[in-house]
Amino acid sequence: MDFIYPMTKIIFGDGSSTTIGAVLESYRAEKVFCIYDKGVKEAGIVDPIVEAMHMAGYEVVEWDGAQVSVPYSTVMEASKIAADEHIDTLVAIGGGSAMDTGKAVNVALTQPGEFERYVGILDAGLLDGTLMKPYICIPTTAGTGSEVSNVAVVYDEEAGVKKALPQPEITPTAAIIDPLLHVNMPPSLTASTGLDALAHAIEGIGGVRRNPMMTSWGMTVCDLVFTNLPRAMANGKDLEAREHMAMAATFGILVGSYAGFHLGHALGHSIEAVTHVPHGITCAFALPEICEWYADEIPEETKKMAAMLGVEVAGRPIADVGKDFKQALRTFYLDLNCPKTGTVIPDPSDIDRIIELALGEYTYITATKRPSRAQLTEILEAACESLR
Amino acid sequence: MKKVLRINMTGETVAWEALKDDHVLLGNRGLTAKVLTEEVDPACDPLGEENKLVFALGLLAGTGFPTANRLSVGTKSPLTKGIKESNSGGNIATFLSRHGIKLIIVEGKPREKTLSLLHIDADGNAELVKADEYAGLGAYELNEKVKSAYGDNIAVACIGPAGERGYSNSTIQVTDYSTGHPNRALGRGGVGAVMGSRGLKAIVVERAKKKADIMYADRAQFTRGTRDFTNVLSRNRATATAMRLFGTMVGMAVTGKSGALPVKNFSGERCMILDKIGATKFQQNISQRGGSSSLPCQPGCPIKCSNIYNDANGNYLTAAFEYETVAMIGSNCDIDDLDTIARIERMCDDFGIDTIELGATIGVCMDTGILPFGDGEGALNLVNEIINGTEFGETLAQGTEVTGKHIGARRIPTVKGQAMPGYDPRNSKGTGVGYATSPQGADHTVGTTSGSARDFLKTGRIQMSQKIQVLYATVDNFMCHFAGLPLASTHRYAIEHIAEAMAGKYGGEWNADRVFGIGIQTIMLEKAFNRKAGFTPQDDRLPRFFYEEASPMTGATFDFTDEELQQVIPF
Ligand code: SF4
Repeated sequence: MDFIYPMTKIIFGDGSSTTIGAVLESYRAEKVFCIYDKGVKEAGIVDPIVEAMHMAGYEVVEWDGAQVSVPYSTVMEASKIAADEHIDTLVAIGGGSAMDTGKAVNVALTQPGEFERYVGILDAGLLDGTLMKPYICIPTTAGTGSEVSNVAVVYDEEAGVKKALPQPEITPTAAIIDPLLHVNMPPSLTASTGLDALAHAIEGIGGVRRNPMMTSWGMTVCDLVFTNLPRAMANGKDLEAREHMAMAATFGILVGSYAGFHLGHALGHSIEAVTHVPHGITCAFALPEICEWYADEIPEETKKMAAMLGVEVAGRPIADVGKDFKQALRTFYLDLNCPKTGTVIPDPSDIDRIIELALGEYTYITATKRPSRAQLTEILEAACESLR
Repeated sequence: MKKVLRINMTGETVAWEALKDDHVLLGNRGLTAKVLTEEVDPACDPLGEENKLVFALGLLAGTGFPTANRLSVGTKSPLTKGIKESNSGGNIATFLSRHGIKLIIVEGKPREKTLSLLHIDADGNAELVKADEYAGLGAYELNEKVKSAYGDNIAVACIGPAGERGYSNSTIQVTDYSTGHPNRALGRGGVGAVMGSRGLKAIVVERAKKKADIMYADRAQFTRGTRDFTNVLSRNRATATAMRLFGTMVGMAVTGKSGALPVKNFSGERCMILDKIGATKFQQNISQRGGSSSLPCQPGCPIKCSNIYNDANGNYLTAAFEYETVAMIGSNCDIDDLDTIARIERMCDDFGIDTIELGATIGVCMDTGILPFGDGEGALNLVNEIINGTEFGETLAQGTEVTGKHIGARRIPTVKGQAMPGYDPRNSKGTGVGYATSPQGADHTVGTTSGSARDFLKTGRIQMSQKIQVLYATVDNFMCHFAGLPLASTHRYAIEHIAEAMAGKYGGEWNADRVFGIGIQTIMLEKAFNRKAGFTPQDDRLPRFFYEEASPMTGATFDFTDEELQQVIPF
C-alpha cells in the first residue's frame, strides 16, 4: 500500500465561517475572489462571511455566477474577472458546484494553454504553470465533501459531457466547515447530500485502494449517517445531528476519494447523465444491491455495517448477512422519503443506456469486484424493482 | 531443462544436444548472445547461409517463478545489422519447458526455396515437416490450420508473409495463453525475415504428456525466493494495480503528461488526442464491448497486463493491444481512433509486421507529406500496400530508415537502423541515452527512465540509463520486463529474492551483484558482437534533429555530448 493524501487544513465548528478573516491571514491574502451562486446569497449565507472578510481588511471581488455542474463557460467567465482584478486568493461558498467552480477557476487562472488540457481521468496534463492560489472552501451542504477533495467535476457544454479535473494541486488549501450554515437546508437536500456522504464511505470501504485507516474512518462515517441523517431530516435545527452530518460529509469524501469509489458512483454518474436526478440520490439508488454484491468481497466490513442497522450477523453466512444488509439499507433509504424508480429512472428503456455508460466509468473499471454487463444490469433492475 | 535442439535447414536434420556447461547460467537474451557469439560470424549477411536463429528460454523457466516462461529469439538483425534479441510471453515457452527444452538453434538454409515446420509432438519427438501448403498464410489462418492438423493443445511460433518475403520489418508471432491467437510478437529487428530466409514457417509444440523434471539444488530455498518475489509483485503499485487494471496502456497517462509520448513523428509537441486514445478510452471500449482486461499472456502470470479488444459490434478484433502500438500508430501519427489503430494492429499481427517500426515508418511518411497526420484510412492503405507487395509497400516493409531515405525525409527517428519506440528522447532523456548506447538499437526493452521526475533534464541520466540497461539486460535473462518494474522503482532490494531463487535452483553463493553480473555479461557479449560487425562509437548517437530541435512542449533538446554518451556501459 502506498498513498498520497493532499490534505486540506480543516477548520470545523459552529460559527467557524465567521473566522474567515483569521484563516485568510495565514495565506497573506489581500484581494479575495469570492465565488457563490445566487441561491446561497438569497439564503443569507454569503453576506456575513463577506462582511467578516471586509472587517478584517480584505478587498473582496464577489461573483455570483456559479452554476450546477460547473459549465466551462462559467469557469472562463470567472477566471477572466479574477485575472483582470489581480486577485491573490479564492474563496467559495456553497455546495459541490460552487466549490468545484473554484477549483476549475484556480487551474484556468494559473495554468497556461487550453483548460481542456488539464481535464480527463487518467490522461489529464500536468499542472506546470505558476503555483495555485490559496483556496478556501465553505460548504453550505453536508454531502459532496468537495471542500477537501482533489477532484472537480466540470461540464463541457460543447461536447455535452461531464468531465473530471483530477489534479492533486486543486485540493482546497483550507475548508471552513460551519454546521450552522446547514440548518436551513430543506429535507430533500439534506437527504440527497447525506446519502452522497454515505455512498462515499461505503464505496471507499470496498475501494481498490482501501486500507485500515480509511476503513475505520469509513465505518465511523456510516455510523454517523445512519444515526444522524434521520434526525437532521426530522428536525433541521438539531445542531448535534447537523454537526455529525457535516463531519460525515467531510470525512466521507476522504474515504471515498482516497480509497476509491466503485459501482455506486459508476451507476450514479450514469443515471444522472440520463435522467438528471441529484447526484446523492443516484449514487444511493442501487447501493443496497451493490452492498449485497460486495458482501463476500469485504465480509468483515459488511458485517460491521449491517450490524449498525440492526442486522443479526453473528454466526450467519455472509450471503445471508449481505441480503439482510441490502434490505436494511433499502428501508433506511425509504424512511428518508427519497425518490422512487418513477422519479429516478422513469423510463425502463433507459436502463441499457445507463449500463453502457456505467461500463465506461473509471469507477467501474477499477472496482475490485467487477460485475459483467449482465450482472450489473441485474443489480440495477433489482434496485428499480424494489423501489417501484 | 538441459535439452538443446539443433535444426539444420540445409540438410533438413534435427539433432539433440545437451546444454553446454558454460551456457547453464544464462537465459533468454543472455543465452542467445552467448550462442551467437560462439557460432555466428558478426560480419555475416543476416539473411545469408551463415546467420543463425536462436530461441532460448529463461534461467528459471518451468520452475513456477513468476513470468519466467518467456521466449527469446536472438540473431543478427537485417534491420540493425547488429545483434538482436526479441522476446515475448505467450504459451510457447511454457510448452517448451514442459519438454525440458532450453534452446533451439536454427541454422543453414534450404537448397531450394521451400517451407518447413518444426513439429515437437507430445512425446518430445522433433521433426521437420514440409509446410509449402502454408506459404503466404497469415499468422491467424496458419494457427487455425496447424490446430486442425495437430490438435488444440499446442503452442505456435510462426512467421507471416512479411517474414517469408524477407522484409526487414517482420516479426515472429507466438500464441497467447488467454486467447490462443497468435497476437504476441517477437517484434523487433526483423527476426521474422531471418526465420523466413531459413524456410522455417512455424514451430508447433504439442503439450508434453509428461512434464520434464526440474532439478533444484535446494528446493526450499528456491521456494522462499519465489514466494518473496511474488509477494513484491503483489505490493508494487505498478505490478499489483496499474498494470493489472489498465495493462501497458497505463503508460499513456505517464508519457502523455511528461511529453515522452511521441507526437507527429517525434515533433516534441504535446499530445492533444489523449482523450480519444488514452488509457481511459481504451478501458471504456474494452468494458463496453465485452472485451477483457487483466488477462495473463503466459500461464501463472500474477500481473496479468494483457487484454482482449473487441470491435464496436463486440467481436474479437485483437488482443495484447499495447501502449507501444497506440503510442506509435496513434499518437505518433496523430490518428485519434483506437479502432483504426486496433485494425492496423490486427493486420500487423497477421501479416507479421512490428507495429512500433510501422508506426514510425508511417509517421515519417506523414511528416514528409505523403499523407497528412491523422489520416487513419491513409495509414491503413499503406499497410495494404505492404500486404499487396506494391513497389512502395516493399520499401515501407524495409523499415523506417529505408523508407525515410527513399522519400527524402529529414527527420528519421532511428538508431542503428531501428525505429524508436514510444518515448521521445528529449522528454525522457535517460531513455534517449539508452536508445543511443544500447547494442540493441532504439528499443523499448533496453530500459526506459520514463516516469522519473523531470525526465526532460539530463541530470544523472547517464548513470540512470546505465543502471537501467544493466537491470533490464538482467531481467531479460529471467522473466518478463514488467516483473522487473519493482526492481526499477520501489523495491530495488528484491533482486535479493532472485538471488535466493537462483541459489535454490542452481546452488552456490548468490547475491545481487552476481545476479546483475548476468546482465553485464549479456551486454558485453552483445557489444563485442557489434564491434566485430563493424559498429563504432559513432553509431551510438541519435539523429541530429533531436539535438537541434527543441521540444515545443518542454523546450528540451537531446543535449548530451559524445563524451558523455561514451561513458555509458564503457566495456
Ligand atoms: S506482465 Fe503482462 S506481458 Fe508480462 S507475462 Fe504477465 S501478462 Fe505477459
